[in-house]
Amino acid sequence: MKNQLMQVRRKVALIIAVTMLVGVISFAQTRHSEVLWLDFDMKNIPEPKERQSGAYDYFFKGQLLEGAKRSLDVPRWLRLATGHPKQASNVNALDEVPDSSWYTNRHHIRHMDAAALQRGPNTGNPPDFTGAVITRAKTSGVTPGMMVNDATGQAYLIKFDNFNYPNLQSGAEVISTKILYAAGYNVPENYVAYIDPKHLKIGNKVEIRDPKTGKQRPLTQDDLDQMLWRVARLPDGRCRVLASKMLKGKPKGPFAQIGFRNDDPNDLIPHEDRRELRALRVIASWINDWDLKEVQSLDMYVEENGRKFLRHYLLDFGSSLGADAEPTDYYHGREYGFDVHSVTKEIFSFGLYESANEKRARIISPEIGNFTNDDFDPGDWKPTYPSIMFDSLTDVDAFWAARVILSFTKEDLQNIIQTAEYSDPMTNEYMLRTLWERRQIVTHHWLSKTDALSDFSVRPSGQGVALTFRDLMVQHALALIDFTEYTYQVKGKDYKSPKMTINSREITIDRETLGAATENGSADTPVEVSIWTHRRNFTSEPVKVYFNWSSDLQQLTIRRIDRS
Amino acid sequence: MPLRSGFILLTVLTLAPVYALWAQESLPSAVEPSVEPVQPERIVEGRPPLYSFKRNLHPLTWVELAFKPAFHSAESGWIHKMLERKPDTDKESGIRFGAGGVGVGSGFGPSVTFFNKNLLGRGIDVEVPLTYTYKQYQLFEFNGSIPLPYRKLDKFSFDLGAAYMSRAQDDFFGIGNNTPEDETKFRTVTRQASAGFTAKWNERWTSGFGVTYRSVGVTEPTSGVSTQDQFNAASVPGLFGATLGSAGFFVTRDTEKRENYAFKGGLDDFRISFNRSVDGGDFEYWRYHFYSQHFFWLTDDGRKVLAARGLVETNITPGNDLIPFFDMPFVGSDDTLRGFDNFRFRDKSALALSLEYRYRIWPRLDWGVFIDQGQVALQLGDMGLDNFHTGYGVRLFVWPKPDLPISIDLGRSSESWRLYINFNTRF
Repeated sequence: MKNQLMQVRRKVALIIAVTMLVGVISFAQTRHSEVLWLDFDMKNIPEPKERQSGAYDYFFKGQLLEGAKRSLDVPRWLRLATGHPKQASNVNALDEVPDSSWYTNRHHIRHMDAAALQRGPNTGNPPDFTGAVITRAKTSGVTPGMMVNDATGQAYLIKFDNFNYPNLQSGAEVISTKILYAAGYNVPENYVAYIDPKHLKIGNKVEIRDPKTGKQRPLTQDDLDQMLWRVARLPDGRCRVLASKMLKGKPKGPFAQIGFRNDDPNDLIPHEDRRELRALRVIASWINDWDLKEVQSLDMYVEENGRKFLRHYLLDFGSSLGADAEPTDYYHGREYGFDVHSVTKEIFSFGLYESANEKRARIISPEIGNFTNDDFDPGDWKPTYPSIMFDSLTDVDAFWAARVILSFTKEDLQNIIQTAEYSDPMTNEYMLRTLWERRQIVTHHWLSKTDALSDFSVRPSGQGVALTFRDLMVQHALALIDFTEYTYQVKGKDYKSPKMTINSREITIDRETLGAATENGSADTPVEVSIWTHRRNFTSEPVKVYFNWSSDLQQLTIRRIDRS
Repeated sequence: MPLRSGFILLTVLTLAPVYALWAQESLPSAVEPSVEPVQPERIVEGRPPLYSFKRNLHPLTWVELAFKPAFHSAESGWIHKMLERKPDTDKESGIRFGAGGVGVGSGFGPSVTFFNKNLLGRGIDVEVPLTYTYKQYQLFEFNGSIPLPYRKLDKFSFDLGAAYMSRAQDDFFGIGNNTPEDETKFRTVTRQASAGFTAKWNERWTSGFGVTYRSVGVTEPTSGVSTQDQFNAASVPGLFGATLGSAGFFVTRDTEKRENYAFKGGLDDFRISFNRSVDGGDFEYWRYHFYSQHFFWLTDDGRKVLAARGLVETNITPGNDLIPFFDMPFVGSDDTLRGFDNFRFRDKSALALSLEYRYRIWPRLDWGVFIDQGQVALQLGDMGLDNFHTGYGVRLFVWPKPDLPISIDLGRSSESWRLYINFNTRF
């Protein structure tokens, strides 16, 4: 009996050891230690195959199987239990995301002026659809859609607004496109455009699925008239539409929300470990872009500067802000499409628990739909389907996203909203107010979980060295300065200074401390300053700032910022 | 044993880095670019070692592989086409393919129906459904309905029917309300012919009158202990079969609506029939059967519904006449008393009551908790409050289509657990 018990114990110990070993090896991905602003994943690659994705990938695999795998991931639980969740892999030494085929630092790092924000991804003027030719059509659904070629032969995907909700979906898509573009993501060129149905021509071999028989047949003028009968019209009979310009390159299907693309040698980082993708959850919560399943993304095989590679796009933002084909349902952003927690609560409360899908949305106006701050909880915000990519979000990733969001000022948002060309000036005002309030709610939520310190700089001062920073919560009126303190500690090789607490956002390190910190290190060993932020009953994890002198001792440089 | 564990650990430790190197090198090679930027650096040096290995090794990955083809098919393959296929309601004649069962405990199987809605150009509706289940239950029917002109009715018809039914292994526990759990099985082969009139008075009310000839043979079951080996004909009337003639009348009031929500309205059905042996046997009985089910919305949106149903049946035999055991009412099935074996209690009279609270837990999903009570007796007057058998359990409704409720019931009783799956259930 005792021997059997020993054997069982040995087996359990062996399993744990192997699991931990595999876990540790699996995640020991070497990260670049220098400040790298371009992660060059744009090498020439052979043409990848088109990747298919559907409900199987985002529901069965994405939600059920991957969710179950994650629940059984022992190394992950160990990391979480010890307070060390796996941090994003594509972060440079300054805790920022470098440019890549996935992401380009824009407004957050390289300030965009009003014109650039209003232009967004667009490279030209809105298309002229006089004499446009329909090349494909979708008649089913609440609102129809079609592909048309304009007079120059450029292809556009056309989305109409619902008859009862003019400007709702097109307005939301334009605003979200421009916000996501300015935030750094690759998005298509989406224009507000106008189509006169009288000037639309049906191209050759355009077929639709007959709603009665379910069989394919040619699109007729009657079909077109019936289609357009359901869409919003202007008084002069024209339709205001969202025209999405076809992306350059060859479409290669959506990118997976977990793992990488095996036939793309540039794709080295598991997508769930990419900070810009994890943090998309935070930015999406701000604009309530709840439809973020895999098929709302697209890899394009593009040719740039003589190289062919995949560029990764986000698509289709018509289900954002308060919009969908109709005003968005209340539960969007609050519950998953199939929410196990809500279902469980419903079952065990005998139906007394009122889940979000039971509640009715508050419709502000036909143009705005259901875009409000009602019960908005950024930490609990959910896209339609759970995703390992979003679940991998750490507080540090969210802090990065909050920095991106905070780069949008009221004027920036106002400029972007204007491009939606709403008919009612009150809509502009409401959108601005709501986006601004949600910006405050989102950033307050996530900044409260971290040090919230940014824009570190270091310079020589009379007494030694001055390390300054900005406290984003204080700066953006999200926390009271009177209740905020900072504790810091200077570290060097074999040296730790006493911890000091200050109220200001400038740390002065005197010569004596600097001397002690650098005494036992080599000339280029950086000095480490750990800073804790205190607000009322909260103390953050430390942010570690590393700086050193240039070789001629003339210049002080921040080498690394570490929140891991 | 420690030696073996150590060996395994050593192997893993040796192979892991080797695999990591291999995984690193197994990336497809990139074609060198013609123009490179000044510093073409990457933020990481390569893919995380063992990442794919770990994912591929995971048991759930194998589960995924098993389900993938079926799921893809449901999404865009032939299963999807089947589900999306719209029945050609305008079609006058042809063949319909489907799936179904042939009553309590039969299981499911393929069903093929030949039909003609306008035979001879006179509006005669003919159907020949053929069903064969995985438990080897069979039902081959012919149903014909000849419309009769009578303007005051929605529909008035003369109906003809014939059927061959083989029930391969129905359960039998004896007759009475306290029979032991010792299960035996029997097979019945029924050949039947019927004729009658049906009148549909309006959307709600239907009534009819008809006569039926039935020849029921009882034989050895396809599996299990045979009833005929365990019982004798004296204690179990009709143990070796019977040939019966019946005349009956029914009236039904149907206000039930099932679209999308957990049912509304109700159904009441009353039947009376006189049955007797036509081959000189001892069987002669009047049957009175009443079934009622109603749904009460507790909220205006129909998300919470109280469902109740009741079945009462009694067979009255004049003098010393008998009723064959296979024709006796029973409790113990998904539509009488859940949680017990099928056909658990039989006798001349039966009473079954169900109360169910069902509520929406998600769009297209309803949950329910139920309690069933049932008992059988020689006659209704012998029934008592202390004689009820109780089953209880939970119920899940899935609505893949607004008019197609699929129910999955888990019933529990003092005797057993039972799982029931019903397609297009009416309760």
